[in-house]
Amino acid sequence: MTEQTIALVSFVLTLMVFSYVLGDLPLLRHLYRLAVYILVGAAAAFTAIVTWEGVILPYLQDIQNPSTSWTLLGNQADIVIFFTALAFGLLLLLKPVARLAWFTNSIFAVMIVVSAATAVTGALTGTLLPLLHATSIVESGGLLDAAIVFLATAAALFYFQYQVKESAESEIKSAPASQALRFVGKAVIVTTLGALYAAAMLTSLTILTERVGFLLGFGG
Amino acid sequence: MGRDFRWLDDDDDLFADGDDRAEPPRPAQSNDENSPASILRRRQDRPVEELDSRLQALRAKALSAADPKAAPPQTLYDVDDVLVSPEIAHRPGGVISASALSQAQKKQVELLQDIVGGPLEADARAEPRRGFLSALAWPRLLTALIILAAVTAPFVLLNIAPGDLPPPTFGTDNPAAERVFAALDSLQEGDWALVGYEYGPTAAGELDALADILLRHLFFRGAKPIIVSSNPIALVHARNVLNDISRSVRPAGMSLQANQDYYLLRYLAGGALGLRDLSHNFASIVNISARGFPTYLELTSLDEMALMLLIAERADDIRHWAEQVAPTTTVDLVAATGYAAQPLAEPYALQSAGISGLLVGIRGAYTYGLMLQDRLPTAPGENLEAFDLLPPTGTPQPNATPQPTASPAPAPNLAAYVQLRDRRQETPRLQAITMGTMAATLIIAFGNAYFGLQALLRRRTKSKGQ
Repeated sequence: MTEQTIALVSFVLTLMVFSYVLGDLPLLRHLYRLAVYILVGAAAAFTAIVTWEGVILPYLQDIQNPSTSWTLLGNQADIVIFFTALAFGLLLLLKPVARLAWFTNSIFAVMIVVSAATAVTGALTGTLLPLLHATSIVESGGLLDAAIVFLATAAALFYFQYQVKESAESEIKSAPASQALRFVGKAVIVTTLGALYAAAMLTSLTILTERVGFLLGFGG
Repeated sequence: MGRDFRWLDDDDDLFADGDDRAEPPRPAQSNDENSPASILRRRQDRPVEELDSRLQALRAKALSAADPKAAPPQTLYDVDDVLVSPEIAHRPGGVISASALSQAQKKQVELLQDIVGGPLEADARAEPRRGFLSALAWPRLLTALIILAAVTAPFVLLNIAPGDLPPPTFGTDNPAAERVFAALDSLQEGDWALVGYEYGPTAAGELDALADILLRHLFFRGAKPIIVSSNPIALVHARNVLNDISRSVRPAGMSLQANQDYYLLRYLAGGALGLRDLSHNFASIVNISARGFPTYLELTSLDEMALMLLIAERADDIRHWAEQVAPTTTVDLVAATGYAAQPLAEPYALQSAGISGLLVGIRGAYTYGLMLQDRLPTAPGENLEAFDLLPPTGTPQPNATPQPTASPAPAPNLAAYVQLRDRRQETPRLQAITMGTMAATLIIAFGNAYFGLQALLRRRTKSKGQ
């Protein structure tokens, strides 16, 4: 019974989302919005519940029990960390008070700096160095591939180069070689955007087939 | 033509250029000739040629806005318009300056300014009510109907089967996907597999097929998945997928038990920071389940995992795992994702730069399923006994003697995880994707031809006019 109810609700919600293709029709235009509101509201509610249930509540229970440690730094350290985080969170609520902007901005600064440091470290060790290493490995017979990759990358980067020179007649123009390289870069970028668009379209069609299969199989 | 266009500085005096600039009205004097009204009356419009290029452009725009017929039709943007392609301006002193907005962005800014600059409420009230037919989005509706018809056809018509189905093995064509299969297939009973579950209901239509087959492979090998996510909704969705797998093996008298057959850990808050926390504080994170209960797992490091498997919707999630988790351990990380994230995820799988293997999309899931199916008869070491997995068709006979509950349960037939997989919609979905792609390609080709022809005709008309 419960599964049938869920399937029926899914069926109705799917039709509500599909009503978007009909356009700006009276009453119907609200169906798509309503479905989106339900999705956003449910997502927000689930996020709040999961965060409370899986993060905040266990931490709260941990600091009340001296024999346990959430961070493996000891219960005392857990208490300090918990109340620091709680204080930061509460102080962020003062954001609308203009006079205390320097204070709330400082808390934001701490968060941003920590995030940036983590991101930079990760980008270096997880993206830049491994990808540089992988690109530098040229397998046998792959020299042409490597050359194309190098030229395409260089041309795509050069596309964003806007260096120009001023002629004796005070005309501003770029060199013919620069224009040619920018043209190649533009072709590379267009090809890349086309590939990304095609991939996104394929994903959309895959999801659409799942919904169409569900709608056609509903009740069957 | 007068002067060249240049950006104004803060210290530029708007009224300092003498006779071609308007003077501010002077304070009223007793004399009528010097009154502001008199000055305004005496002023005459300057000739158009004397206006600088910026004012001339504004004037042309104002005139074209006043005459709707003169306004150019909406056309597709060129790459130069969409990307940042600044208008280069020459400033005094040889400085070249450029604005940082693309043409398309500028037009959007102008549009927003128009929108917020007007009396919104009054406009909304003044908007005439449109009829039913005129309110229909015809082009959008037509496009949607064509694609919907193409996608629906394979589900309702049996004889439509365009294109080939995916191959039965990945082989040398797709070594990255082959590596994913090999990595999961090398797991032994009791091995721990960390599963990053980074997608929610919005990508379920594509990634559920991948998650289902990969999790079934883990259970088939007897491995124990430990599921984590930096997306709270994904944890809820993962539970649904696991429940579906558990329901599917009920005919074989089996079911999946949380905190026994699999572990669903707490939500990793903070995105990339949460993943870094997973790498460094693994022991504390595996202690708490998604419902906030202790798991009693005695694991201390990621290195105790036999494999890390990531199922992700967005390329950013794959990057975060490759950056924050993979470099901190020696355990292999394999990934599965959708077509949209594939182009950005593939570099990480190139030469195993962070990711050892990559499985993509529903076609990948189809081939993977066939390969897994082939593993059933010769799967070594599982101690599988061939038995009929279907429920008995005869009338069940009641047991005369109740069985003691403390008796050891029979060894589960792990093959059921593969054999009882629902594959009914696999083929029609693959055919529907092919049909939909064909329809979309035709529509795009038609649109390109239409806009190209329109641009060509406009250019010819313009050249004839000159």
